[in-house]
Amino acid sequence: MWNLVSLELFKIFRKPRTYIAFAAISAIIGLIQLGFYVDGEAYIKFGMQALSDNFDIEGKVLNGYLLAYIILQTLLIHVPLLIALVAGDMISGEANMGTLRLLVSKPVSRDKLISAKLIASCIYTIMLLIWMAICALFLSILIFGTDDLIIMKSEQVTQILEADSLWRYFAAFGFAALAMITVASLAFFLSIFSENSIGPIIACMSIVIVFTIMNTLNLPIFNQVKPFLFTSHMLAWKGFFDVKINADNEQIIGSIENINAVMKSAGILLIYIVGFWLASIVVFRRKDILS
Amino acid sequence: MIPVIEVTRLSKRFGDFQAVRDLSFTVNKGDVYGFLGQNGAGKSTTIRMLLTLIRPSSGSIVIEGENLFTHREKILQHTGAMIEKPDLYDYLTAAENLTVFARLSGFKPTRKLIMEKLEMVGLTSRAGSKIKTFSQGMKQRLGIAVAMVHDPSLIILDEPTNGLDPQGIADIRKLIISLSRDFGKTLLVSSHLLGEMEQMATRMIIIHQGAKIVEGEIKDLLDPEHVILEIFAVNNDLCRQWLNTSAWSDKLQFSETAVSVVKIHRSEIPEITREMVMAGIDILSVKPKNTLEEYFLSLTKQVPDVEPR
Repeated sequence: MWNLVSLELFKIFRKPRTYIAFAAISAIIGLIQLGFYVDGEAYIKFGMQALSDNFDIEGKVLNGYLLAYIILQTLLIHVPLLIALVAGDMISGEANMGTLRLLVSKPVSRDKLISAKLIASCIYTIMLLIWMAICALFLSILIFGTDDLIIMKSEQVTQILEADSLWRYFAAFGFAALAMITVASLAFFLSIFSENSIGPIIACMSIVIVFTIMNTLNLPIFNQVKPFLFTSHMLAWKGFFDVKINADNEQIIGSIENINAVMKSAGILLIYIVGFWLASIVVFRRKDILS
Repeated sequence: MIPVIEVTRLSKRFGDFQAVRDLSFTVNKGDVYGFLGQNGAGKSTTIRMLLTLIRPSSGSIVIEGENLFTHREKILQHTGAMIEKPDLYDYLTAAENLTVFARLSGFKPTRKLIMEKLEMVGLTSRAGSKIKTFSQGMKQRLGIAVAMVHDPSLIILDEPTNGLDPQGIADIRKLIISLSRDFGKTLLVSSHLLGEMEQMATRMIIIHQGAKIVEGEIKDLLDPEHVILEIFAVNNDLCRQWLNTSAWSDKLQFSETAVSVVKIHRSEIPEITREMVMAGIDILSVKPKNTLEEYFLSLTKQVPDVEPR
């Protein structure tokens, strides 16, 4: 199996389109960092205006942790497109190039072939997320330094101690990887039905967009299905930044306010991944290779 | 003669379209087996079924004594193929393509072996070049090298000389003959060019509209003393029925709604005609075809379209 996975990874990383995602992430993060480096203080001052009137805020609010949080929040909506670019091309790209027939005529079972390709797509997704973590977190820490993380939500402000922040990012990036693997699995599944990669990429993004719109609209008809949509659970990484407080109204270091909700979301995403994987196997087993 | 491929009553239907109909043939060890038919005759569909790319609607395929669909991986380990166009990974080099496909066949190739295979098809100097810089002929030759990279005992080549110049065609022909004669490989080579097949095949089958028209050894098929006889009768079902019970039953090559084809000695033509008339068969015409080429060409013009079953 590793032989197959390594061959798939070799092919992925020899394709120029693979690096589009890495370059795009680097460029977007670089741009955000540059913007905050130049105008960040004014932006933060404006954002904290309401708080500054009533509280004395000390320390460096604009720090690497805050920037990483902003980047995560911004980018995780757009990264699915970059993931779909590669995962949606895994089977359809081979069909389009004419190599699928040669691949399937080799002494490898179709189940193994599909599984190896999906594993390779997942590894690619994880590598992309690691790259995102390096650029968004470590580079931001290097440029902006560290301090407590202050997150402003609509009705509350959360302050997470500097010493309690880093592990939350590792957990958040880990969860984000799971969310992005779900998108990769969907794009991969769709790629079985097509002989060009544009179709699965557009179809995958359309599904993500439609589900996201359904999540946003607060209509009773959509509210019933929301818990079952994978997009509803993709942003559950934010749960790692909700800290429990004790009876004295003090933060419990290393705690997560609603770990069950986060785990439930992770479970639902896992069910989606396994579902797409099994569906891919069933469909590909029966597929006549006519490309 | 040891049978390597045994195809029995193979059929494939895509919706209403019958691509292959009741096709049976046998390829023996060491054969260069010509698989001949016009474009769209069903050659590629049959080859795809031989490589498990397509599941047959009915019929069986046995390769080296084992059912292809129950021993798929074991059989494909000893099979090399080039299917239609030689499409390869255009962003990889020639050597990388060979390595990828060898490893997919469960074979770890050395650099020396890769270079040997490239030398066999005259591409040593382009080992490090990406496929996107290759001409169609070069891709064709590399496709053949890919089919041979894991040293298979059975090689299936679908139109291997497509897109090659005359020198390239001659080189590939020489290579195919050498693989069979010097290395004992069994080859199934499809083509729509009879002249090309005559020069390299030991045995041959011609298919038309998915069905077998004629099969046999080249020397027999091209034997001037034997003719391929097309019999058109008012009621061909009756004609076929009679032929199946006659002394020529084993000579019957093909029979459809409008025509029956037998391969007999020239001297037998009057006798078979007489016997048919005596059996009450109303004959419209009896046409002997002298050469396979003539027969093949006439066939595609004269055999009426067969309705899907």
